[in-house]
Amino acid sequence: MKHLRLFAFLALILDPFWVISQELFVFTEPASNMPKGNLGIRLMGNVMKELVGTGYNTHVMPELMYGVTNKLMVHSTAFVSNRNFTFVGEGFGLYAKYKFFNRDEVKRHFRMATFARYSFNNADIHQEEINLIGHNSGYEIGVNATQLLNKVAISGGLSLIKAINNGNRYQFPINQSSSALYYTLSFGKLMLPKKYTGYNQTNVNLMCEFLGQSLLPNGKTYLDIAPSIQFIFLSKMRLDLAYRQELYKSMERTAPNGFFIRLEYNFFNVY
Amino acid sequence: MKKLKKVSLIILWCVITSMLQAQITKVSLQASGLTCSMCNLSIKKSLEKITFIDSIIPDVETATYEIKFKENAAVNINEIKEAVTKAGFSVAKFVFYLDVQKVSISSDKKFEINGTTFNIFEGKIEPKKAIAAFQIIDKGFISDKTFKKYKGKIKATENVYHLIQTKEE
Repeated sequence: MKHLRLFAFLALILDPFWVISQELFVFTEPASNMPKGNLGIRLMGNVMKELVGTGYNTHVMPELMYGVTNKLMVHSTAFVSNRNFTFVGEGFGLYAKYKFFNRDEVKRHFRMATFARYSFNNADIHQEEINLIGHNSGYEIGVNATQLLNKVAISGGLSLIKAINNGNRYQFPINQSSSALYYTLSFGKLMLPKKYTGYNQTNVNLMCEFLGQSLLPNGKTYLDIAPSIQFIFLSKMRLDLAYRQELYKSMERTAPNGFFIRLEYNFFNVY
Repeated sequence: MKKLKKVSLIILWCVITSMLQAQITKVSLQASGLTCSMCNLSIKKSLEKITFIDSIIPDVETATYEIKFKENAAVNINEIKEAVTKAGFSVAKFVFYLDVQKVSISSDKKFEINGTTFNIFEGKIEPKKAIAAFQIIDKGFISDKTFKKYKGKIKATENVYHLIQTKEE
């Protein structure tokens, strides 16, 4: 009885997490891959508030994703931003993910994957935070693991980031750490529909992600929380709406908080 | 007259062999590793690429697909399983339906369709019944958890599938 009460209490405390899709997260990738031969197109936009002054900067990132095999998928992204007042193309990113472990049961899975990223950016380097999505040139390698339990998904990732000099002769500042650990923990829950009757029902997922970075070797850190809501239409179109908020930092960042919107469309059996 | 006899004999032979030609009439497949409808649709789309499949009726809630085949088409069981794997998921249950009157089952409970050997591991064929349902219990056709139950009891051989007879739905 005592245990039952304790369990009920724990379930109550943990509930806010569980109320938050599944594993098609906004800020991180799950260990699952796209099906072989499928092509996805994405358009992501974010509006971030500058910490100094009253300005906002907007990034637009078109992205292509392709399932090479059932274990290997690749992304290519273009980075466009108006951080320097007019929209300019600032760079591109290449990403590959390989699923090396897969255990499936009905409505459950545990999967692990390893991934690598290369980004090129020709904007000026203006903060201590290393961000390969639209700010820094560099490399990233990492692993992630995802557990799906019926309608809930939990995913974690750990990666090593190395920033290099940006394009346009923007050198990486010698007084800043050029490498970092990046760690993420994501929760998602499928909220609607309660019961599936076909492919045309709109799926609603709620998610909450924690995103952290520690610069090496100086240990300067940030931790962000990013709640999001996701709609999946006709089982092939996706709309994500998210907000990213800094919880803690000991490094210099110029615009950590802001809104994200992403549209995705999936083409099946392209090749 | 002699020619007519010959022709009618040929026709008769064709009719008999086509009647005896064993064919898998239906497959009921449950996929694992997914919950959402987007994943479910990618499996259906992957199955749709298979040329010998005629129709697929999905049940999104249970991730079960009822698959019917083109008439007289040779059904490749492994190709169906591979379509699920290519979509990034696994097969948890693979049941096929067969007119057992059209197959000859050997004394060691084996029969053959289109060059593939099937070995009945569990279950008894009732001679009066026409359609029987068989579940494949080989690795990749059943969840890893359930496979553990049969592992060691069956001998994995290429192109031989082990079956347990299940209730006809």
